[in-house]
Amino acid sequence: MKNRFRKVLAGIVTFAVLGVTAAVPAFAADKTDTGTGSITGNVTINGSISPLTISVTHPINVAYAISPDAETFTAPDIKVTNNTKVAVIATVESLKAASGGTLTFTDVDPSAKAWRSLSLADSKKYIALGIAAKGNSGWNSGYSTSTHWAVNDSPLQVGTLNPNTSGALSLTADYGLAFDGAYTANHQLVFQFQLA
Amino acid sequence: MTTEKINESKGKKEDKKRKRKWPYILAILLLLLLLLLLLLRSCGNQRPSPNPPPSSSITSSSTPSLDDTGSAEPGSGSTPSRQEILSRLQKQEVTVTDKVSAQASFSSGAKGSIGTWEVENPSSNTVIMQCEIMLDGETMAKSAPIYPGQHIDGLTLSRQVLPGNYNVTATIRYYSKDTKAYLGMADYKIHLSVS
Repeated sequence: MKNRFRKVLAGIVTFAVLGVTAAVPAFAADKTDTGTGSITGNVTINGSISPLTISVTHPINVAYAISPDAETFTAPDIKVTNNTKVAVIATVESLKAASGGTLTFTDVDPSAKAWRSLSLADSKKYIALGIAAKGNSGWNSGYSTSTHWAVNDSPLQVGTLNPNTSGALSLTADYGLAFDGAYTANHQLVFQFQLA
Repeated sequence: MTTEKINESKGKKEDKKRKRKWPYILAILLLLLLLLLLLLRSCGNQRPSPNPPPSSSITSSSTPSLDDTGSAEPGSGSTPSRQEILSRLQKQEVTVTDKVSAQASFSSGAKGSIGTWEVENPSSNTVIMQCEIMLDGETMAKSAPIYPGQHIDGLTLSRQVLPGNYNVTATIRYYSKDTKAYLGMADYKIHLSVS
């Protein structure tokens, strides 16, 4: 019985020694510094950093309604939410009249027309549509208060949004009133996002 | 004597000719008369009638009478409130969440090289995404369509790019899941690394 116990113990010890010996090459990069007195050992630390994921929630189409009798332009706020771990910069890259509705407007400057006296044909042709950041809606201080009119080609950097924060933009418009039916019209809004 | 005979025979011939023409002249005159009559008749039809027939919209009585059937709504016409309009417009809005890696990297700039770049189309989205990386205004890589609940982790270079680090624009285009129609796009400024 004792002999058998010894054999089992010897087997375990042998496996342990072999295991340690086999594990040694895994630390092959290790080096031994030898010497007398004070010895200096240099250790390199390698870091591996992954790129961050930019995540933003935003609308891809915008709808608005014009009520000529009430002379009102109604559009919901455009909400942009930053889900990224850091702040992101939001830019309105373009806002342009697009086809696909029953009317395709031509974007013009708000001062280009006498809007309340536009004819039937011109009411169905021209609009001045603008977009601007809404105050107190989550944008960091220093956000742009100017309006980006669709007729302009230059992008507008709206502002910065902190992580898990939403900011809003609102649409504004100048338009004619002479509409002889129910119409739909589309505009395409393109955002650009980047790490702050 | 001979001359007299000749003249006599000539006169007879002319008489005969005149007699032959008469029926033709009469026929032409009759035809002209007929045309004149027809013309006068047509002019007479164009003249406004002093007593026009009653139109279908006017009843036999001289003053219109009210058709008092049916009923209209009381008060002035209702216009939707601002809140109702906003609610309707919000239903038309399509919102998406993008998850885009801030860097795309390629171990080689050769055309056809496969690099790493992660883009996720979360399952909460209702649109198909397709991504494109633009360098100097030209497409250098384009992804496969990414359906909701899918992601990509690599891209293939569609043209040669010199090794280096670049600031590039990654464009995401959104398409309807049902009709595959184009809906809109968004741009992301990312870092491109080519070894």
